[in-house]
Amino acid sequence: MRNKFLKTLLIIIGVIVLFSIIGLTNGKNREVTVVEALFSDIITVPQRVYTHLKNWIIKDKDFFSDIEKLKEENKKLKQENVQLTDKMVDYELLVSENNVLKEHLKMESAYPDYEVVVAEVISGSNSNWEDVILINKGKNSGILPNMAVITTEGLVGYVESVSDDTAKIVSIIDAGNSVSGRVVRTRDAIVCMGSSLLRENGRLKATYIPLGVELVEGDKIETSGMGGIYPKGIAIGEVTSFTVKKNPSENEAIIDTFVDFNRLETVAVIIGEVKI
Amino acid sequence: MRKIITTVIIIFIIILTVLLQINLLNVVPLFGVKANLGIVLVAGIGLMSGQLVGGIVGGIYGLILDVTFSKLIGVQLLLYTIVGIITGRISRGFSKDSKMAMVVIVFLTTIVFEFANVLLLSLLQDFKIKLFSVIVVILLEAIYNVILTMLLQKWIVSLGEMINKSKNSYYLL
Repeated sequence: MRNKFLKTLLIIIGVIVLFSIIGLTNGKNREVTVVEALFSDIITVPQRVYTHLKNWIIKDKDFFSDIEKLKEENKKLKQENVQLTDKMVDYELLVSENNVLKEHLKMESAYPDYEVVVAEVISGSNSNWEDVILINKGKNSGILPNMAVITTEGLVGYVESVSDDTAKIVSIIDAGNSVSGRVVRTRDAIVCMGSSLLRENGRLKATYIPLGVELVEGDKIETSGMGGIYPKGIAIGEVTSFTVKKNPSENEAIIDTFVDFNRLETVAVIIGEVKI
Repeated sequence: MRKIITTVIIIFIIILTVLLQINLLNVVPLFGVKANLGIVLVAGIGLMSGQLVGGIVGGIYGLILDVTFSKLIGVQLLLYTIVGIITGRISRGFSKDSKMAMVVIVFLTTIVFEFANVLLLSLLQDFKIKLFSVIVVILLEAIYNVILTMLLQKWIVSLGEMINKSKNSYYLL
């Protein structure tokens, strides 16, 4: 009987305490008690860890998927880059080819009376004495030794020797070379000689100037057609100075060539005359 | 194997020297005068490895120049071979470790080589020269070559040492 009473009393007290707790905790601005905080921490700390891990994993999952996307994008961009680079190279080649073709056209139209083979200069002279140029066309293009070589500016030299696909050109400024020239103004024949002293400046020495002829600065000189190699009327250069010697037969002049031998890129070899 | 590799390297260096000479040194002349890397190479190797190796390297270098850029075949071959042989012979009187020896030899070799070159060209062709301008050009070239020698000495010495290590071979240089 007594036990039954105690049990009922404990239940009643329990209910009251619970309701009291409910009542006490039912406030909006209520502060968390120490006990609550303690229990809360027992759960919240591992919960925070868990959440953190979960978020990290989820975030990482996105990160991995992003990497895949980025890799794919990168691959696409790389491919695009390669394509663009190829296009750039093609473009540059086209520009270069276009310039070469323009130069060829210019060269061919500059001397309509002659049949020419246009060629590129592979290398210039490598010595301090000789002025020999190598071009990328030879026997296979119809080039033979002793043919004249020109540019749109004027006379370059003659073909010294040929292989199937290259030719050696001795320029007019070579110290061992000489060209029979004619003064355009007076029609007098002179000899234009290469000189070791003048070749670096692209100049020639005019000798065998007829007695009584006085050349003046700016006089144009062209080929006379004598000598068998160079056709008549191809521009050589212009007189820059005229020196009178004690012996008039030794008078000489310096000729500045029209062709810039330091920047020679394209030349034309005269392989014959155009037959009308 | 080492000997084959050395031979390949020497041939490669000869070709590289020709290419450097025509593409680089021709573009950067000193007062209008071009340096001659061939003399530096041939004289350097002759000095380091003796007359046989010097002569062969000089011969190959000269032949390439003759075939490719000269009006007459044989002039450069002859001159460069002589450079290789002579520097190889006089190298006996010099210490291979002496930095000054190579510089002096290149300077003197350039002068002798270019005078001989001009003389041959004058005799074999209608080559018009003025002694004063020839002397100026040769001296400038010799100075230019000395500068190149000082810059390249380390590599030439290494190349010479490499050749000397594989020199006992029957078929190699």
